[in-house]
Amino acid sequence: MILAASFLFALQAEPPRLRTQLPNRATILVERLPAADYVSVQIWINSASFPDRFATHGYRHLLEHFQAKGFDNRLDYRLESKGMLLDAETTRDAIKFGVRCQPSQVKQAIQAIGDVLRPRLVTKANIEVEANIIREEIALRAGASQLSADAWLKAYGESGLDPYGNPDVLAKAEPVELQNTWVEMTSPENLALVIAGNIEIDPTTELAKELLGTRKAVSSITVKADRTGINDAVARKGSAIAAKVASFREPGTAARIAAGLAIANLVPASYFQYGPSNVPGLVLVGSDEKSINWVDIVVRENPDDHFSVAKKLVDRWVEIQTTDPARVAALRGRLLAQSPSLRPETLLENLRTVTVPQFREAWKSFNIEVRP
Amino acid sequence: MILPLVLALAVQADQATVIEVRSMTPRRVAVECVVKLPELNLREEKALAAAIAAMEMGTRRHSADTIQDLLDGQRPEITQFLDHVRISLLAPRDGASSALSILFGLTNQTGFELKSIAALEARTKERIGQGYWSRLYQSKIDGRVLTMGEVEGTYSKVFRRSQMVITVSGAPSTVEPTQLWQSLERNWQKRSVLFREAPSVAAEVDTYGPSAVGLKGAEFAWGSQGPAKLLATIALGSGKGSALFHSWRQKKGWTYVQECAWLPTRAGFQPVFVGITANPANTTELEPWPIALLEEIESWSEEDRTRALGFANGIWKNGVGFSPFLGSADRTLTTSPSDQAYLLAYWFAKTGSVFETDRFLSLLESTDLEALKATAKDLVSGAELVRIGS
Repeated sequence: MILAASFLFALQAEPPRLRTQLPNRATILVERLPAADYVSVQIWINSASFPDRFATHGYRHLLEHFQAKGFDNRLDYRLESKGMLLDAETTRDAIKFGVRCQPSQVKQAIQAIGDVLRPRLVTKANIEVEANIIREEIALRAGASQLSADAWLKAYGESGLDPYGNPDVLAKAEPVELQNTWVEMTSPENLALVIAGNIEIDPTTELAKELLGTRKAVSSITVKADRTGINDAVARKGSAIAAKVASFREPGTAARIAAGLAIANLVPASYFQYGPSNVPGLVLVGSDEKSINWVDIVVRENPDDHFSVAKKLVDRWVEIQTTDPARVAALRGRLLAQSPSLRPETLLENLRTVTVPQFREAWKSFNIEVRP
Repeated sequence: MILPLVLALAVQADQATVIEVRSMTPRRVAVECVVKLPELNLREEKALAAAIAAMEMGTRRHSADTIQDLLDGQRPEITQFLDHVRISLLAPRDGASSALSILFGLTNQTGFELKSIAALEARTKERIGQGYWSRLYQSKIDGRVLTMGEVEGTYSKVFRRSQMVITVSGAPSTVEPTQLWQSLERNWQKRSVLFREAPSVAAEVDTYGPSAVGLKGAEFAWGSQGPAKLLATIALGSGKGSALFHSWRQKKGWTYVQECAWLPTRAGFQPVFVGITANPANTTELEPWPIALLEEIESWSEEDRTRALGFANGIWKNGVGFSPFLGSADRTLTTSPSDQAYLLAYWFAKTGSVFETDRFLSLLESTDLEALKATAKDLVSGAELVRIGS
């Protein structure tokens, strides 16, 4: 057992939390947030060994769809009857399933996570139906998500492939191939279970151990890359600009987050996207309005004029990430799934200490423009 | 319990009603203002949208930059509905007085300049017709260019103290929000209404995005029928255990997105059920959509009623989202401190009573399975069937 970091962010006390690494290398983190009005239970499944490639583009997303149904396809129904909610997400680094519940329902939420992790039998017919649902999902996705996919592809090529996937590739997936992938992907060393809310740390950790402690390791597989085309039939909407970032631990990443928030602040109804990761990624700012000339904004505006508001926007961003149970669990879970040693405190400290020269440099790095 | 305790409620004739609550989130103070709308024609709706756009650019009291500075980097969010305007301010913990001062400036001291009218005009179309949910409201705006007098006149007609309900939700502080607002109100300027009624000229608003099939139920006022209609709405459209998800997505494969909401209208609410699809073939014929729902309702058992009640608890106690009530033109209400404060103000403005979670949920429980099925059938079979988008 390892007690969590004692870093103090600004003047506020760190909430108590306990990080536990099990003998099978699965990680558990329980964080007590006394003011929280709900509990978030999230499993993060690291999929660094199963990256999206053109030949398997979207397999992880397809698996997310199947596994979220539960063993009898009625997991949502059971949870909703008790006022709980399951959500699922596939990112470039991981697959996440989360349950939102009250403190008295944590045991049931953990059981639901166990249900989600159980391999499901799927048929070729199931795959065809779900591939069509994903086709609809891709076509209906928000403009921010579409432009983000474009920016990632522009910045990182195949290794930046969009996690939504390619429905044509998915329709050809074989059931056995998917099942094997799931079993190997959910090997305990890839799992991080994070529970955040107004909960008691020790008994909650024990409940989490019951779920993950008995899981056995599985050897990993290798996915071969094979260019077979990408899904580009989606109508784009809006405009965006992005900056490449290195690991979340780098000071330059914090400076780009600050600059991104400040640039977004210059355009009404704009959005900001960043998902902390230990591998290179993007900070993206965009709008549903396609006429925004982002390059012009970056060139024309003097970053020094926006440093002060950037600091306030960063404080608010950090506040949201560190007080809402689902955000707290997501921030920690997505990093722990990559490595049990990764903690967001480095990023939070870097954000607090961004300097004007770092901010200026970061401002200029927004140079990946995407628009329809 | 998510909704905070109401500590004080001040109602006085010809003044704004102020609701003070103690929030569980001490980092910020949420100031929410609901302004009940008088009857507006198409042209006035457009003029109001222009006035709101001007309000966001700053007031005579505070510039936009000063407002953002006082709100610790945040900006006011102002949303226009058919029956009310929502003004949402989120300030630092000790910022209640600043937020109320900003609110006063927004509602009484916004200035309008001729040169900005053209810019405002360009933004009104989006405001009125392009929100995710507002697409279901209406598809027309007045096509002619606004005048300064129309914008000023509508501003004066809409922003009246007696039509405002303000919730101040935050940690206890030395500031007494009700007294503070009342002292600000003493400087409330009566503005002359220059607006002369002009005939409306309707113009179509461009629609965007994929096709949507909508079932628009009949408008009704919250009252004895409200709780049954709300539970039926949740059973039909909220969550993955709902009839919409089960039927339109899982059985029929017509949509990936299915949602429901209660659009606020002057008469009360209008329940809407929406399925969105990227495949035009799915919307060639609309009649099968409600028929599929009616078949689903026939098969409901006590389990479906239990799920709907459980999900209602999830919405208002666990904050699972998917509330049928709107928070803006683009999203339904959450249980964020701002949205909770807004719900208190809105519910009071709409019904004259304070929203109490437990009492509200107990009203839903009184609907038995047969009543639930009958109400759901009425909602679906009596709904107008519409196609939205391309």
